[in-house]
Amino acid sequence: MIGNVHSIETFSSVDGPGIRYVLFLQGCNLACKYCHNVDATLRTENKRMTADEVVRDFLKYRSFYKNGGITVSGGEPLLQKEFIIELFTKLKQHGVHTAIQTSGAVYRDTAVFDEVINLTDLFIVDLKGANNYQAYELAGAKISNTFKLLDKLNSLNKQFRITHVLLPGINDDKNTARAIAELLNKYDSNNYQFKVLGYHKLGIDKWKNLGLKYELEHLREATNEDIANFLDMVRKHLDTKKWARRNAI
Amino acid sequence: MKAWRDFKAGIWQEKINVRDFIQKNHEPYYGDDSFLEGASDRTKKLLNEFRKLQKLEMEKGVVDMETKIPSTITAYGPGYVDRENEVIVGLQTDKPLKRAFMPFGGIRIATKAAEAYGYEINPELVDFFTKFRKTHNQGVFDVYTKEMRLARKVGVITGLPDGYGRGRIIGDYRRVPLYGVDRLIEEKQEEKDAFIGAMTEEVLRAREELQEQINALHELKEMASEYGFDISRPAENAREAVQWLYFAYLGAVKEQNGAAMSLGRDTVFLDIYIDRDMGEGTLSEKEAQELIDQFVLKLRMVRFARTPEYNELFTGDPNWVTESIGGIGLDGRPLVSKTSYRMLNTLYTLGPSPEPNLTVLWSASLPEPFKRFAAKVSIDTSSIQYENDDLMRKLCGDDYAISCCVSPMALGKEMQFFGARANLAKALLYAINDGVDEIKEVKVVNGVGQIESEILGYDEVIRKFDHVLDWLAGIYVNTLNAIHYMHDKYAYERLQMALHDYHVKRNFATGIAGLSVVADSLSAIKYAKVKPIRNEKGIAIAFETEGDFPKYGNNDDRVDVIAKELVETFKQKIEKHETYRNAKHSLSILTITSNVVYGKKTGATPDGRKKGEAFAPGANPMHGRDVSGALASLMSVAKIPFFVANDGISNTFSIIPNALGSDGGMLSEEEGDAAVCNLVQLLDGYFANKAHHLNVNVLNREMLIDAMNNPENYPNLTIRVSGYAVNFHKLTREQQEEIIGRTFHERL
Repeated sequence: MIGNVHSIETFSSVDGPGIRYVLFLQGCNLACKYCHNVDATLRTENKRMTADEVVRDFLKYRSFYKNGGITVSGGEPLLQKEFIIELFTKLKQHGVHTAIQTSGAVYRDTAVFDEVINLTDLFIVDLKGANNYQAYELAGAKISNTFKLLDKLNSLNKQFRITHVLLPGINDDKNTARAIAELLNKYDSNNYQFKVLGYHKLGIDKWKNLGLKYELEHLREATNEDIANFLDMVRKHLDTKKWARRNAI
Repeated sequence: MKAWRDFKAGIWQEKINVRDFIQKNHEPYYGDDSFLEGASDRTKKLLNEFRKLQKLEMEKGVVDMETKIPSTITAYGPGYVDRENEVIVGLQTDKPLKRAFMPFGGIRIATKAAEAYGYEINPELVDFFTKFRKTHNQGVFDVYTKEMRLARKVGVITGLPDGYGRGRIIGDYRRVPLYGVDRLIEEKQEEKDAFIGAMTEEVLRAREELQEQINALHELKEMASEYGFDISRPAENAREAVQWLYFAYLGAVKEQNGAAMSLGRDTVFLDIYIDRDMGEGTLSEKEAQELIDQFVLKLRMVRFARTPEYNELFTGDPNWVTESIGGIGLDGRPLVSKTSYRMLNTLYTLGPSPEPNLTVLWSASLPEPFKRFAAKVSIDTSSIQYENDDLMRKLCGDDYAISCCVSPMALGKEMQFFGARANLAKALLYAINDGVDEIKEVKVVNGVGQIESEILGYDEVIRKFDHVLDWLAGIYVNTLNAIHYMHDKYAYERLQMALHDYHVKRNFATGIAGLSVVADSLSAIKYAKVKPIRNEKGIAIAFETEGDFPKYGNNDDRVDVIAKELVETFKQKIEKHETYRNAKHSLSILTITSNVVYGKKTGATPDGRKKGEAFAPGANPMHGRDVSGALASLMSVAKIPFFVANDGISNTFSIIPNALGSDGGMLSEEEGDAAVCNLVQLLDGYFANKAHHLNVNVLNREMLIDAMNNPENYPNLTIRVSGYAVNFHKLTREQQEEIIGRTFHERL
């Protein structure tokens, strides 16, 4: 199988546990206004690599990934799920920890996705909104597929991490926090982690270089305080019994 | 003997053998840092006095300088900072931070150093050291050939220790507390008595050197007695052990103003004393930390008078008081003790600081809690460097220490002849310019031959470069031979050598500057089209490059192999030449801050580097050319073979805090340590690939820019440069800009 690769980062400590090799796949089905890899979303042919080539490159740096592993990101990596299946099957033979970073928007309850889930140790699911309206406004996404993926992962007791990109004045309000808490309450707290990522503008140049209009230019970056405040609001609506149990473990 | 009560017996009692004492008596510590205490009140008061002096020094350049009395071990009498709060005593001169007058390396330079700060050396002394007492510097220039002077003038060999102390020798200072000075004198006397029979030059030299060593040991006793201590006997408790150890080191820095005056590997040694006192109930944890803190505070006060030219090479008043911590014993037990933690803890109790140059000897087998503590201190202070113990142990055993930045030497068994470095980027330009220096426009190397072709041909350049390197290796080794002969003759390290076995292994420490510039230049010539633009004299003043070429620092073998082979080739050429005292050839890839000056003196190079632009430091890839991520950059450097460049391969790594990982933004409030774990993994991974050295800076570029513009807000900002740490505000503007221009690994 040949993958359409955007780029490779051999040293990442922000895309899953430990030090990670991040494979960014080319192409995305969404149009997130805050996207910081907009060049990776275009559905063009970029760098073609076979799964074996990726495995060989990964293994060159293997000594650094003992507590980490590989994360396939994008773009939307699940648009190339067959490639991921071959890649992860091969990496699993070397005992590598695997992660996928996705919006979940292309998820369907099919045998192929079951296989992807089976080969993946950690799903990092970026929540494009707390409800359909928000997700559509910010990313052109329907959130229902994402919820289905999360339900599936939870029912299989797989590890997943839900991320929420905090955009000041847009999705940092009480209602969003409450909706997220209610979503989290559905899941076993041993299965998931929730992480708030502060909005930043480091990706703006990529939009400009491609001649694209960046709509959020006026928005300020999120501060650590914004993040802490939002997490406090989420915690208020969390089912505390579940958390008490987790802390007891 | 009272001093050795409860110590396990061993051959260390019969012979001078500190390693055996440590191996018989140390217990590895596998726990974490939770036992550590903060600074005592006395230490805090002393620290406060030190800060005031530092501030004064920042304003004036120097606090004070001696102009009348030449420094010897006993020249100045006792000096104190704040007597009632000093637990460990002893100063280089009669006042703290006052710089001694040290003329034996060279009177001209000692005079210039004083003049630079508005002091005048007593003219009678200048006269004395010019007319009646010859100095090292005078000796060297008496014998230099015309060719050596030229090679030095054009800067193809630079930074040579021909006008200042060569340094880089580490006395085994631990011998003083363990054995007491009288026992050491006895041993030296026995060594001397063995040199009898035919009075050959060698025997006569041995007898004279040994007598000098004995004299120095007597002076050391005298110096200590002026402070009220009798170090003729061994230390009887931890406080004495620290004090005796410090006196031994202090004697060395009173006698020698060597470029690097490293300390050794002391924490496990001292821990044996501390542990015994604690067992006897005479020392608390707070008091143990106080001993180490006060020792370290004294080490932070070591000063030498340097000239502006010297400071341009090695900025920030560095003395390389390098202390090696950790590593694994030959028996597999870690050489980690609670005092190893206490030493790193001084970066908290006393704040971050460039000195002492704390160096963690990293091994895959170090206890995990120790790895994590070191990583945590690195992240908080950027004041630690790491070196691969799993490599160095094979070369030097398990009782070596790092001298200066990256040079391992078995303590008391090995010394080295420091050789600064040869500028290989300039040598490459000589190959392209028929042996003519591109800046001074004089012929330096004969028989190279002009390159006629418009586009540089790889094979032709390599052939000519080989010729230049042959010449360079010869002139370089022989220049160093002249320097070290004279240093032994006129500025012999009496006390430091008294703390060695007489029969030592001598290393001949050559060095390379410009590795990445040459590798990329040769890669450009090989893989792209490089056209030299020549002036009317036929000297290439610029290069036009058509096409792309692989660059060192991207884990691309096409160019990394060029770098590796360059190191191997130059080492082989060095090894062809006979060395003074049969020293063993060694090689480092280390520039310290001199990469800026080397760059300044070197014309434009085929890799696209402009005339005068700084080289990358040490073995680092050139700034901004390592574009494939942090690991690719590290992997390229790891390919330089340590057993060839066995005097050390320096790499400086800067990363922004967030790129190491953070636990921020997580819903669960459990305290995480992602950044610490990731740094540990990074070091484990790097050294598993047989890399030798890594400086770690965890800093923001924005913060450095702010510190450059508002130094008053960052008085203690410490950063790691090639092989040592430095106060950022002590760097020149040029050097600060060079550091800010370096590759910072960031990914958010």
